[in-house]
Amino acid sequence: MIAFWHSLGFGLVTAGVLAVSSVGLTVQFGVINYANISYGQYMTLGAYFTWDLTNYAHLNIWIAGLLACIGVGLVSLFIGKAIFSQFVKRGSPGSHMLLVTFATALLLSAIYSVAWGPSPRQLDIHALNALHVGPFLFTAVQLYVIGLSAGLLIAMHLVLTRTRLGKAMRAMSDNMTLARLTGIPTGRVTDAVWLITGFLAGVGGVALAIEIASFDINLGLNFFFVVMAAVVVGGIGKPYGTMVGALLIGVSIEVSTNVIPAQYKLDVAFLILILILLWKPQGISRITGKV
Amino acid sequence: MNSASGLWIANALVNFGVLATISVGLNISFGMAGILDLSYFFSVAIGAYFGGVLALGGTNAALDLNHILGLSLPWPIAILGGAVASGLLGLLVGLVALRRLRSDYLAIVLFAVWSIGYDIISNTPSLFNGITGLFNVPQPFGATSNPLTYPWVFLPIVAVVLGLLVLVAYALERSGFGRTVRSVRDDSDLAEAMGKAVMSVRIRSMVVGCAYAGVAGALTIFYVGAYNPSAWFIFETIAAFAAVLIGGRGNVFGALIGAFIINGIASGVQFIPTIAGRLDLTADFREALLALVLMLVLYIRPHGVFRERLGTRTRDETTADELSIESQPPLPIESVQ
Repeated sequence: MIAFWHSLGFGLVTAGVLAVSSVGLTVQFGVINYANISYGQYMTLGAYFTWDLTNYAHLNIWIAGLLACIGVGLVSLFIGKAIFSQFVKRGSPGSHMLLVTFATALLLSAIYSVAWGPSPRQLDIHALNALHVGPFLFTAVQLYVIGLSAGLLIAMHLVLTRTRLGKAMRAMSDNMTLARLTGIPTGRVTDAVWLITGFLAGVGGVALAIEIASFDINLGLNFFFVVMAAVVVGGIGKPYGTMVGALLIGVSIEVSTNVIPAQYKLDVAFLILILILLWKPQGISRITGKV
Repeated sequence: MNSASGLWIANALVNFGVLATISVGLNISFGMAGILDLSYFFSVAIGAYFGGVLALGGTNAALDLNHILGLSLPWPIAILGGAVASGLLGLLVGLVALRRLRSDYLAIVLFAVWSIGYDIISNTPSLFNGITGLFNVPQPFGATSNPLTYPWVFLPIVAVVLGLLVLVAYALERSGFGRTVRSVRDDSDLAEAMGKAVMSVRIRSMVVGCAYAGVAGALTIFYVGAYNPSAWFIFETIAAFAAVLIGGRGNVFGALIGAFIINGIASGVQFIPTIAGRLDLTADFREALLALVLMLVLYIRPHGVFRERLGTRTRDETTADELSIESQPPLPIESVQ
C-alpha cells in the first residue's frame, strides 16, 4: 500500500512536469490550429541549454534554467516565423503542416545529435534529501518541481485572464475569423504565443530532465506523446482542461507501475491518448467549462 | 567497371527496389486515400519480423536469439506471411482508428501506434529479440552464393516482386476502386452523398498500403539476414513520405521516380568526406538532408513532379485545389467530428 502512495506522489511530480509542458502545447495548438510535432524537441532543448549553462558557464541551475528557457522561447519564435508561417502563408493544408512539423522535429533531432552526441547526461540539483509529506515520500527536488509548476500555471492563468494578450490568445483560439474581424493583431499575438509556449516547453524539459535519472537527445521525442495525451484529454486549446488532463495522465502513468513493468509506463499515456481520441475527441473540457 | 563498383550499383538497386515498394505502398494509403500513415514503418517492421520468424528455426539460446514462432518456412512463403501480418495490423488499426478520426488526430494516433510498437518490441526480447533484433535469417539462395556477390543474386527477386506490386498498383489506380478512393480523399462528404462506402474504401487502402510495407520489410530482412529496431526508427518515415510527395500523390510512376531520387540522395550522402573524430555525422547529415528535402518539396511543389492522372485526362491543379477540402488551410478547431 505504501508503494501505491509513493507512486501517487511520483504521479503528482510527473503531473507537474506534464502540466507545464501541455499547457504550452494546448495554447499553441489552439492558436495556430495545427499540431506541432516538434514541440517535444523544444523540451529537449531546454534541458540541454540548461546543462550547457551549468556545466560550461557554471551558472546556478535556477539562473541557467531561466536563461535556457528564454533561449528556447526564442528558438520557438524563430522556427515558427521562419519555417511554419511560410507554409501557412502558402496556404498549405493541415496535412502538409503536420508533415512540416514532423520534418522539423527530425531535422532538430539530427542537429541535436551533431551538437551534443548520443551519450546521456544528468541534471542534478543536489537536494535529494527525502521528505515525508503525509503518506507521500518526496525528495526536495520533486517538491521544487511541483512548486515551480504550480507557480507557472498560476502565472499562465493570470496572463490568460488578466492581460490583453491573454484575451487575444483565447479569442484566436476560439474563433480565428472573428478574432481577426475584431482587430486583434494576430501576427503579433502569434509571435507572443511562440515565445511563451516555447518558454513553457523549455521549463517542462528542464523539469523532466531533473526528475529522471538521465536524459539524451530523444527526451522530447519520447515525451511528446505524453504531453499530447494530456492536451487531447483536456481539450485542445483549453488550458484548464489540460491541467486536469495532465493530473490524470501523470498519476495514471506512475500508479500503473504497480501493475505493469515500469519500462512500459509511457505507453500507458499513449494508450490513454488513443482511447480518448476514439471515445471523446473533444476532451473532457465540457465538464470543466470553457476557458 | 570493376566488381566493387558493380557491387555498389547492385546494392543501390536493391535498396531502390525496397524503397520503391515502400513508396508505391504509401502512395496507396497516403497518396490515393489521404491517410497520413506515420506508423508506416511499423508495418514495414512487422513484415520484416514476421518474415524472419517464419523462416527461422526454433529459438537459439546459444546465440541469444529469442523470438516467437520459428517455423523454418521457405522464403517466398515467409515473405507472403510478412505481408499478411502487416495487412492484418493495418486492418486492426484501420478498424479502430479510421472510423472516427480526422486527419490531424489520425496522424498523431498512427504516430503513437508506431511509438508503442517500437517501445514494446524493443523492451520485450521474447518477441523479436528486443534491441539486438533478429539475425541468422536464412537468405534466399544464400547457402549457395558467394556473400560478396549476393546483391546480384537478390536483385532479380526484388525486381520480380516490385514488378508485380507495381502492376497491381497500376491496376488499382485505374480501377473504380482507385477513383472512389481519390474522391473520398478529396471530399469525403461528397463521396458519401454519392453513395460510396467511405469507411470500407479507406480501410481497404490502409490494408493494401500496409501489406506493401510488409513486403518491403520482408525483403529487407531476407536481403540483410538481420533486422533490429534501428532499421525502423522514426527517421525512415521521412524518406518514404518525401518519395511519395516528390513523385506526386496518387501517381504510381511518380512514386517510383520519387523513390529513385530519395534513394539517390540517401545513398549519395556517404560520398561526402567524413570529418575525422566524428564518423557518426553521416547518418545525422542524411536525416537532416531528407527532412530538408521533404520540406522543400512541400514548399516548392506540393503536388509533386508528376500530376495525378484521372481516367485519361490529367488533373488540373488549380480547379482541384479550389474544390478539395483537403487543400483548405487549417480551420479553427471548435469541434471534432
